[in-house]
Amino acid sequence: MRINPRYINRLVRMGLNVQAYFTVGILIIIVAIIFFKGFPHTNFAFIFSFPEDMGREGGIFPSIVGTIQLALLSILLATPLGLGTAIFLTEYTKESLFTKFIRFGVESLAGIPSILYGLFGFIFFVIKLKMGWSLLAGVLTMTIMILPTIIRTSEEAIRAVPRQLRIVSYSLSASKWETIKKVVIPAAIPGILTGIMLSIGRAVGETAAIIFTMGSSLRLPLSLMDSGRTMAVHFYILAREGISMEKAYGTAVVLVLSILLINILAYYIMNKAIARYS
Amino acid sequence: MDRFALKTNRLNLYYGDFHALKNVDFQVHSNAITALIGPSGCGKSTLLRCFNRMNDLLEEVRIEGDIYVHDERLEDIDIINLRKKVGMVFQRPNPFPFTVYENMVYGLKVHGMGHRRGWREIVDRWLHTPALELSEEIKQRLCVARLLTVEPEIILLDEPCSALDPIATMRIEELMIELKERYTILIVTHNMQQAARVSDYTGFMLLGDLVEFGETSQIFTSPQDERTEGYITGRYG
Repeated sequence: MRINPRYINRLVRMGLNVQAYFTVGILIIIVAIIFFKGFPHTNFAFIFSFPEDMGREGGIFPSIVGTIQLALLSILLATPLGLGTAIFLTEYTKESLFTKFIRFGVESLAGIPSILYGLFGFIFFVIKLKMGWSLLAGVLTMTIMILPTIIRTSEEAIRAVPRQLRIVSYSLSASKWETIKKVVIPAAIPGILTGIMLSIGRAVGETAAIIFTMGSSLRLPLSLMDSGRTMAVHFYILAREGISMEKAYGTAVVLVLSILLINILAYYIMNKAIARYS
Repeated sequence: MDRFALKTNRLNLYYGDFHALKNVDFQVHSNAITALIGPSGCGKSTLLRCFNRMNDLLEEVRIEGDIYVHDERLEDIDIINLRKKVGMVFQRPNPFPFTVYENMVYGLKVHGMGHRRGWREIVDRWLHTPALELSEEIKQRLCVARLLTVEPEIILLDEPCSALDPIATMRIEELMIELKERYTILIVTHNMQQAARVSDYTGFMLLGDLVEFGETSQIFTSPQDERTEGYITGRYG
């Protein structure tokens, strides 16, 4: 028996609708629960005061600062490194066994669970290089973790720049480096920014790798060698050790809001870049 | 000034095994428009690209024979200077995806010519729009303008009107005739009427050979070679 294609069409459409609403629904439910439980505990004082009694009382100011420090520093380290690698892979090498090997390495790096990065950071940076639990060890570990994302997204973005633009630039007697610097990179900026924003998200949300390397000190990290904790780690410890669920949810609200803020900022910057360059 | 801005002497070019240009002896007169016509794949664009060494960007290209720019051997000219002297406009308008202003000053930046403040005076305030929003004709004009900022002597045009409508084509042709006063122009075109309209000299190419070269009026009215006659009367091509 043949079913009327019109019914199948309607069925498929309904199915896809349900799937889409389901995904968005889950997101909304998660955010709603967090806000419902955490918002009453979130206020100005909570954000700008220091924790007391292991976080049972007081605010989360040091962990906010710690989060910003970690994300900012690891982005500052990983972006030049990752962008350089991407430029090398796309502009300065021909497709060969060597580039395949590098690309394979990068992809493998991206697939490693973060707890392993944490363990590596702990053994190498914290113990071997005697950094101790410190912002520095956390930043270095985080840098290695986000490198693959930055390399891959930058590479895709650079590859998407039409070859014609490079040829025109050469015909205007620009050198290879000038062409990369003044044509390829500016044209690839939106894609590169996407990678950076994804990486910031990852740094802000990471816990496992951070506990192992940056530690979980509640003090305000004032130097690279100080231990500290990010909001995600703070949330994890408060909830895991049953210190204070209210404070944990409060932290989660700030965390979710800051990720939202980063995304809005990212879209703003990206739209500016796109308006300028396309 | 020397009579020939560009000249080749027994020029052969191979793409791998493919013999794309065969013993081409070709001249471009100074301050005139020279057109290259011929069917697709005859080598006219390849010949054009020899003069600013754009073929170097392709792999497996081998070039034999001599090329001269103003009686100077091509090999003796620094590639950066060569491409400054011999500018090129491509088949499709290809502005950079930046603002018109940034397109305009690109060459100046690359050559470190002038200052930021001077550039401002060159290009006006209205130029701060994204270049890709322009019409095809204006894009192509922009590409010509981008070239002229660095004051080239010779301009190579690789089918500059093939992406344009007839009206826009006509206006670009008028632009070419204006430019002739100051620049030497070599144009590759699919459009025989265009060659007849704008050029002073015409070369006809077929399968890598420069079959015939002469004054445009002579080529189009009394071609010496029957293959040329066949092409311009539309028997093939």
